Amino acid sequence: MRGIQKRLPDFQSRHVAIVAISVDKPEQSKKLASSEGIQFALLGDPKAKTIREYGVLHEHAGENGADIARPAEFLIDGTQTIRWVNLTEDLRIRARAKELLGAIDALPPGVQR
Amino acid sequence: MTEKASRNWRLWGGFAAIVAGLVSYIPIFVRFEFTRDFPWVNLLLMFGGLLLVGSATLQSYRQTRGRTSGTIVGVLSVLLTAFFCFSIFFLTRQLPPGSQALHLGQAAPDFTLSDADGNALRLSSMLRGNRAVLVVFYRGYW
Repeated sequence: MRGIQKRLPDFQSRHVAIVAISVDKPEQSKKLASSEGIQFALLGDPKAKTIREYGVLHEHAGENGADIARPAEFLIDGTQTIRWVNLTEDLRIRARAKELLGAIDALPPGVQR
Repeated sequence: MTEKASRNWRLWGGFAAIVAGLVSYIPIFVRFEFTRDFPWVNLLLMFGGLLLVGSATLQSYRQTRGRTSGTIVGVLSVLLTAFFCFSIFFLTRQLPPGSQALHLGQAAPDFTLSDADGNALRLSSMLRGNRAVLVVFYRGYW
């Protein structure tokens, strides 16, 4: 997410909004946003409802055996269709901003607004 | 440099490199994709350190002096390096299979979730004002 933050203007100029979802409480998200200088929305999904709907639940992997999200990135177009997915096999390795921008630039013109 | 001084330098210098390689990954090298995805800086430090410690330990056995320190530092060095490799090549890969997740071309379920300041954001509303929305899932607890 540091990588995305660094290239935030490139996402904005492409009219792509960014949200990041975890089970974190608002205080934890605030702490993360200020310590890493993150300016996009950090959304809390405390009961992991959306995390479950997207199929990215990692059961019992959090503190005290809580269910949390596995790392993943979805690019969703104006028709609310998933156009690009990245499901890392290693939680250290996230999609690079360059890959994400490439995926955005490869969106077919028909689904642009 | 006497042989003893050279042995001590390799033993402790090598051990320092191993410890530095172990503890620097999370605070420093994770921050840059170039050194995060494959932690080559840390592995270089640790394996370079292992060579130095190994040669110093072998020397202490040949000269029958400093065997205790040589053995303790040698074993510790191997354990620390093994722990680092186990963590980065095994532990961080223990994720549920990606096949459970929604696929390309599927409809994205709508959601309304609150940001850190308590503002509710809805996916379908964000899509109206933007070309696309990038949804990132992360583990939290940073």
